[in-house]
Amino acid sequence: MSVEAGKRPPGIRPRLAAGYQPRGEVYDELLSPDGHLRPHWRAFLGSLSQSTRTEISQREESARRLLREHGATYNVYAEGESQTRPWRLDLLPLLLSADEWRRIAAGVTQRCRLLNLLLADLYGPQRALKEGLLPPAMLHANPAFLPPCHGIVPPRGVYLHRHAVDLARSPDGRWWVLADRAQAPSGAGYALENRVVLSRLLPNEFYVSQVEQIAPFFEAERNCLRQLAPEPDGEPNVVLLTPGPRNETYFEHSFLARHLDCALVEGEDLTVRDERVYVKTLDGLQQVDVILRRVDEHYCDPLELDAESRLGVPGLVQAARAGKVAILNALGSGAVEVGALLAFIPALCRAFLGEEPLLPSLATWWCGQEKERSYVLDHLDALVVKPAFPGTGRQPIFGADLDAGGREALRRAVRFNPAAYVGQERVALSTTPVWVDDRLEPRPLVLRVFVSYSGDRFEVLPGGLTRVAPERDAPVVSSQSGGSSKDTWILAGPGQRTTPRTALGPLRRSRGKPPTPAEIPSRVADNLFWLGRYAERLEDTARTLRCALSRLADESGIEETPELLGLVDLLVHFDLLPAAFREDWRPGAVERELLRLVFRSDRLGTVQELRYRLNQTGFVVRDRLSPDTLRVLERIDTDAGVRPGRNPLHFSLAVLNTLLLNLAALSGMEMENMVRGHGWRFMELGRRLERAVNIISLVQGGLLIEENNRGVLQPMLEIADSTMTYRRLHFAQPVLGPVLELLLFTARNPRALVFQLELLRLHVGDLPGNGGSQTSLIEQADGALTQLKGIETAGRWAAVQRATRRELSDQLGTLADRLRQVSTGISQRYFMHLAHQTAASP
Amino acid sequence: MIYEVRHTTLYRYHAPASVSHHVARLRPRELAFQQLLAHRVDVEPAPTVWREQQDYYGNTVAFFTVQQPHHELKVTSESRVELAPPPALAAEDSAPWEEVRELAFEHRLTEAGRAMEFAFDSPLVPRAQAYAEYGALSFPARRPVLAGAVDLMQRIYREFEFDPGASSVATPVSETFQRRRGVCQDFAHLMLACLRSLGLPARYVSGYLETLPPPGQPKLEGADASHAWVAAFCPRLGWLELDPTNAIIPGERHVRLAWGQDYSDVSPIRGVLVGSGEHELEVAVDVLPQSE
Repeated sequence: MSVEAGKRPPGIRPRLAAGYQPRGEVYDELLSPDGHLRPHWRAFLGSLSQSTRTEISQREESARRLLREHGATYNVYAEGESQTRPWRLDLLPLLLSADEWRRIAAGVTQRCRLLNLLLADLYGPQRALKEGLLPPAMLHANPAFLPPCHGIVPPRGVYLHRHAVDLARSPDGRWWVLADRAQAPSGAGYALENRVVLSRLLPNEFYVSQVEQIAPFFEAERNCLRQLAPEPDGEPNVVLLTPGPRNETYFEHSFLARHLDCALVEGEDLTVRDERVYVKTLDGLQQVDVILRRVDEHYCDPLELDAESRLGVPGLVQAARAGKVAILNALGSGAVEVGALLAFIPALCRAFLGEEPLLPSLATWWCGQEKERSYVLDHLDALVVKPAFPGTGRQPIFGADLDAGGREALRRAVRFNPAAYVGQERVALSTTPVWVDDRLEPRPLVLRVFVSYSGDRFEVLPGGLTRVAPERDAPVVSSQSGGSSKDTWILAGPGQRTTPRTALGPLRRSRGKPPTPAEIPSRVADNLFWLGRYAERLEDTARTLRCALSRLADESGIEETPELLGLVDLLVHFDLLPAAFREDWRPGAVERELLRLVFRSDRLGTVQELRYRLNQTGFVVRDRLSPDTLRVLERIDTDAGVRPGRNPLHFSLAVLNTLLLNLAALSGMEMENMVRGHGWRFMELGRRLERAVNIISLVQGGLLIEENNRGVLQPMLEIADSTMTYRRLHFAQPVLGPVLELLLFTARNPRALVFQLELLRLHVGDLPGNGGSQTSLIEQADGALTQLKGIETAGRWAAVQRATRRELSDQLGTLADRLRQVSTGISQRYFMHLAHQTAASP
Repeated sequence: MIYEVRHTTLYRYHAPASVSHHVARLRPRELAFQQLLAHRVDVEPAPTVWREQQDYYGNTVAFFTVQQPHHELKVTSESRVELAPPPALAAEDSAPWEEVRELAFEHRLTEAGRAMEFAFDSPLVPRAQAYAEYGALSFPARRPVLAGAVDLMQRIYREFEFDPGASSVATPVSETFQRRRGVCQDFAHLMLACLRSLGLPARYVSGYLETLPPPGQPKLEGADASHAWVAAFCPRLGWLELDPTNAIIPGERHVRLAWGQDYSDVSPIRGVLVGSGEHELEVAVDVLPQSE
């Protein structure tokens, strides 16, 4: 306080804090009980007060936009469906002074040390049970204790590599441990994302507050992960194992994988051979040394753990047992992520460390003990009854909220299965200001702090993930139940200076083989292939619909122009309009159908349905795409994901125009920004195959329709985006022969079939793995190209008769079949070895 | 009594499996009354990895991996076992069941308290009030725990129908309880559920039982099967095995392979294949008494 004294007399609050009214009975982070600003907030609030309220709200809006652009999401489960929700970040950070932080950091470090020792004991000699430090039933009733993992000693004895502690501050100002997160703690990535965004939005505040950097923590983490490789020769291969895009914190998995420089993999990307773990790549199997595990441990190995799991890797437990892979956190570490354990921490701390706990735990009574159970049952009013162990799906019950019947039912449940429950004190959470409706409002908060252990040292992330409740008086704070998050600023101590920095430095690689960029998992290649196909399919659909809708919109009084007639027949040929329209239609009906194709998602092949598929596929491989590409995908999704407005016809044209521009941006990214590795190659293959098949379908339709209606040629050129080219070459109304030449055989036209087939042949030749089925893929691609050249040379397409129309259409049909074979061949050769796992039990 | 046990498991895959991993608990346990004279396991095709280790419950478990593409996998386990009658436990002299339940509240781990690792929920055996109520009929106040367990075994035998068509590996206890029918594994799980819902420790035992052919007929090859039963616990006396499928106390005709919390801990063989979808399975067990 003395440092700041004199600058501004205490007690005078900046304008912004005027009207901020914390509840008196809890601790407030900003104001002391007498209403004075706490000194460590002064610099920050002073700086923020230079902005008007509107400016602050604008910055909040920018934060939302940045998070959206970064794709920061949190998936929420409700009613069996999951939905993606934007990650929420409040503009005001939580500020903690250097002194206070030192105490917190020491406390969580001690806890991580203790729990590591406890895990080593539970999965080893079980001294804690024999000596009475922990009642035996604490282990026997604990479903998170994994018997198959008993006896496995992880590399360097690191069970908990990453530990997280949820803290709350009581009215007397002390921090208390609410819970330990030991299994696969999440949140550090969100903390980093929060910092990236906030330091950009509040650069001045960040500077004057002298905030501790968090980037060095992640740099240390990156190196530490590599040191934990069990067989340290060469550059260790580190992967982050995720349950996949449906997981609630998938954004974080992909974000962390990028920042920690490791591959993001799912269970089916990995395989165990010779008690070692490998990642399946297009180039073959690459050994994995370190797995950063974000799959719940029960699901990690269908062979020895939950047999129903489809997220795991068969044989993983054995690989860990054989000491060939480091799994972080170790399988089984969830055994200490147990509410009931809080009651025993002090005794364990004294016995294992010879120390008193530096951070007190929330008062907890485990009902597996008789005395404690009686206490809980007698004090239901004052307590929260919670599951003692994770994974039971039971919710906390506030005794005070129950009526007599509810209380009796709870008593019965506790008596029947006492070990499954704990009673805990109700916490009066401290409050901190959030920015709501252009002003500061107090909200209860919980702080999650992260520590990382490498076998010889502990690193605490100087910051953390602060979560605030959505309501002023909410009893529970969690990301699942709504609410927002905050960046957490640890202020540098006197004499320390910091410079804002968020980007991570380059990884110091050890000697050994450099990682090859071509190593991409087969699953990723599969998805990139489909990303290319869907992007192209969406573009083709959008172009087709635009072509038709613009005719409907442009005619003042709609007449049945030959073009419109031809178009309708073409759309029927594409299965976009009902077959009945071939006989008879009215412009109004066509318009209704077409608008459905733009705005509805209730059938296959609509703009909305393809947009959804493109988005989902992009989502799955998001960690393989550049931030700008992700931004484009995000934009495609937002811009096209709209409902028809008051003037749907014109609005649909605007939507399609924007969509086509956005799709052009996507293919621009693909051409100009993607490294020419196998990932790019698969996306390109998808695009070329799709376009080739679409051109064939277009030409087949045209051949059929043009016989009666030459008006179809113009739309054909338009759909194939070749109108300008045709006009430049021929200066005339389109004629079938030249149109066919342009769409099929003109090698310079990037929309021509031959162009696609040549690229296809090129890419197939560059696919990994020579010989075998790859050779036959090359033969098939060659065959397709030869067939097309054959058609061209025969020249019968130029003088089109009724018979030659049919003949050409059939030839193109077999060509399309051949292309479908290439697609299947690629799947079989490169994607199909994905595991189909069958538990073979008698 | 000496038995030759031969247990073959044959998987036929519809598409070749490129890799398959398995864990097998096929080695009979060595006990005071069960001596293992000889044992071998053959796997075709030959596994690349073969590891024998002890699991948490002291069973021998073999982990093996077949790494070449294979359409079939055949695992043959042959054991020669000498059985003596297990020590007779005077069920009526066992401790009152309420006292056994109190082991759950021990402050430190004792030899007897170790049994309580079999007193709580396990993956396939959840506890519930309904099982406690059903079980309680066998456990009036102060009844010796093992006498109560014997009574429960007999009730399950009487009140439930043996019906091989009614069950699969995945039949949950609740279904067995509701439909009143099942096979050995279901009865074992149900009995565990009843005992554990009362707070009593009980474990699942996997093994073999010599079956006798109908009178006057020769025994058919492969007619025997894997079998399962339970064991209940009393401090000082130890574990008493109970076979609810046959309402007998296992003696010289039961061969003990492994025990654990439930079937998921001790299935004789469990595997996961990569690169194949459907498969067919044939299991044949022969338990042949040897004339001495």
